[in-house]
Amino acid sequence: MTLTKTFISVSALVLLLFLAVPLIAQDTKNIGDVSDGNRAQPVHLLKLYDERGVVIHPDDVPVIPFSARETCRQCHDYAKIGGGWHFNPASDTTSPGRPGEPWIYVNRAAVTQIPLSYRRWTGTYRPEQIGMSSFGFTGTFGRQTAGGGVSEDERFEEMNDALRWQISGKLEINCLSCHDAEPGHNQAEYAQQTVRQNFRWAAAASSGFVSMRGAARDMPDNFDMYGLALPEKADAVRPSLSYARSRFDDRGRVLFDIARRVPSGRCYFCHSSKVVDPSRPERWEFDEDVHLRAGMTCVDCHRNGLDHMMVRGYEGESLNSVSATLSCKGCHMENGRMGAPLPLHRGIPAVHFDKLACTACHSGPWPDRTTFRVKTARAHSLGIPNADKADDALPQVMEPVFAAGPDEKIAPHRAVWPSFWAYEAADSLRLVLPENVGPFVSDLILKDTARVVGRWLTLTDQDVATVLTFLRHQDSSAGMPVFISGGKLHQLSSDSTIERREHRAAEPYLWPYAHDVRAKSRSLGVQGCSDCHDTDAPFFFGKVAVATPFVAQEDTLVRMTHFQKGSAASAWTFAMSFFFRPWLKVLIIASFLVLAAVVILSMFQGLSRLIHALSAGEE
Amino acid sequence: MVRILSILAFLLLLVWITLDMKKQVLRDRPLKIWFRTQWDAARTLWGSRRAMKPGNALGVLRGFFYLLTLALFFILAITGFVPVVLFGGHLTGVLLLVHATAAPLFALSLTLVSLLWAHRQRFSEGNWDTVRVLTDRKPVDPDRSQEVVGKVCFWLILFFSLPLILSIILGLFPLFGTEGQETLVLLHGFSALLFTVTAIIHTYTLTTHSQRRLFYHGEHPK
Repeated sequence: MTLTKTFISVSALVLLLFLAVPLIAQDTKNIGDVSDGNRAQPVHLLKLYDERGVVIHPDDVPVIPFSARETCRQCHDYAKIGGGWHFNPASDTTSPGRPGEPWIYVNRAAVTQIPLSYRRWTGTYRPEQIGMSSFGFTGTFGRQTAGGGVSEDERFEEMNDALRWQISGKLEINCLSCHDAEPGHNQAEYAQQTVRQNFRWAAAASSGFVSMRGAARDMPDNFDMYGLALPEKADAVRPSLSYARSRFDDRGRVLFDIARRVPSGRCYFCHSSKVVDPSRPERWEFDEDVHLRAGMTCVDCHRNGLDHMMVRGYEGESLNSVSATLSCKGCHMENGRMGAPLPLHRGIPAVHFDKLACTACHSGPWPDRTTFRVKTARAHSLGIPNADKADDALPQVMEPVFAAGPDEKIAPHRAVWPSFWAYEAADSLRLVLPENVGPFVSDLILKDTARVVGRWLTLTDQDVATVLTFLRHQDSSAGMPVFISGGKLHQLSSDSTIERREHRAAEPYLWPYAHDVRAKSRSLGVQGCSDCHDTDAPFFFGKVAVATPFVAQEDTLVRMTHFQKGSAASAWTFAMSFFFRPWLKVLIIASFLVLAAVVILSMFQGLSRLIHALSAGEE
Repeated sequence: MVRILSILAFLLLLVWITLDMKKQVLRDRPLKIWFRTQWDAARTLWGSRRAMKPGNALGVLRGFFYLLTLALFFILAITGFVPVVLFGGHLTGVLLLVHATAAPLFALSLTLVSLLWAHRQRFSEGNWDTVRVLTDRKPVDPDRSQEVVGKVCFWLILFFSLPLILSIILGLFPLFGTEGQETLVLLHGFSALLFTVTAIIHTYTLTTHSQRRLFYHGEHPK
């Protein structure tokens, strides 16, 4: 009896626990994360909170920057949002997916340009491989991130940076980077604050009601935001800010113009690109993406839920049936979502849809004989004051490179050719820290007064040999010093000469792009098969410029077919067949007509004989 | 769809040929005898080319274009079906190049074959009698049955060649969209399958005809 009672009690407890878990889970949902179905834009009249979660009043002394994390988390699940695509590069649990744009580290003195990423994209290197800590990464590239991830997560902090992190604060997720629709929002200001290491001030400084001055970068290691320690440098200014008092209502709240449907201009700050086309030097000469021209915004396709896992929009990206339709094919070929026109593709053999991504014909600049240089917001700090506006500013990125992707479909890619020094041992490379080789290279070049120093420090074979010899003496046990550049690995064959060979690390890092989408009338193939199947068509026979600092190999070119699965010979032979195609068409049509005539005539003859046979008795 | 049907069709054809070879052609004799007979026949044909009458140029042309068409057919069948049947994909690359180069020549050659052979391949009343005997399951002189089979195959080949060629001609012009193009490819595939099966049957029956005749007349090849 006692046993039965105990069993019933335990069962009831377990049942209660099962029932209670969903209820508890439901209760923990923040008010801003549960939609009641109303589509109107909620008004965000909010109290400001600092990074400790304390409410900010405009009269506080000292004036503390508001924290986007603490202010927004009052109504939204910050932790869940923090797992989103823009914030999770270093996450071990998130699939890196299709290769995307890397961060490109450039050190001109060390002749280094190298693609970096915390994601596991083949061909990229992790920042720590060039000695860049999460603090260094945030200061260098935080300008065009929305914060969060390694810029906030203490697990990525290094001991050496502990004091600096204390001074700069964390670069929290700045929700305003994307969702602030206020005209006064200044993302360039945010970028500048990250360069000054004013991480905890950056979000507030970018909002339209804060004035910011000073730089945490210039503060000593014992700097305390609440204290009075003076800067070491005489001209250094303490990081401080002031709020526009008029923006606070009588209850200390501030109105934020928060947009659920993020304006494209916000995306553009980090996702712009500029094609350097000598025949079209002015911005007005370029057309915008047809989708934006039609009134759409980036987030109409690149959607996300509360988890902020943006739909990247490529085929095979997601198992979710709804998000899987948010691709070119999803809207234009299958579902006709959002009124997307269904293309006819008249006269285009079906094999093209197996071999090509939609973007191959529809995206990016119309291809030319050689690839264009392209400047991207993230690689070239576009939109940030004092950014190098020269067309040949480093890093050197090329497009369009028509390369086969992992799905074996050819799509337009951007390419960056890595250039760096390393030690090779047992077929693996250990990168030389740029600061260890930069001064030596600079000295070598700058001492030679006869040499004109360009945007790249142009090296000769002799220079490379000298640097490699220097590296060998620096660390003789690290392996063989090598120089990866211009699509080749360079190593010493004797003290004064170098030899070159192919190496996978010297291959360019390629990532596909999809925008700007051109108008239908500007698609490849609109002028006929010869747009691609000509013997000098850029699609197969265009040349990809190999950006290299070598004199001996200055701007060498690689044929486009190098990046495709087919051979140049077969592509050329196939293209040649198009010269004879009109004649072959005539031949086939004539053959068909004669064949059809023979068959039809014979059928009539047979019919005639049948009629004769059937009427033979009557005659 | 074309892939599955092609695999099924070729398997059935293989089974039929194997059984027929065993039952009607080899009759428990080793396969090498059949090959030797074919080799001897080819040599005889080659040796007799000089004995042809000078005025029989049309006969030479008939033979030449028949063999040329046959050779081109095998090239097209291999380059066309291998990627579809073995790899389940579209025809691309070098195979496409070979296929697209051989196809117009094949169309021309087949047209000439149709012009040169159509009159000879007319059905006669004697053919109708042979069919009636065959349907009664009575033994028929292999010469007579082969004549009927050959003529049926000839006209079927010509008939299937029409959608086969037309589907490609239409695809070369900007008339059809994506779905239309896929339908044309499908039509091309089905036509090619029927064409190929018929052509293989024709070739097989023709090459085994001499053995059948020997067996029918009680002569056994050694």
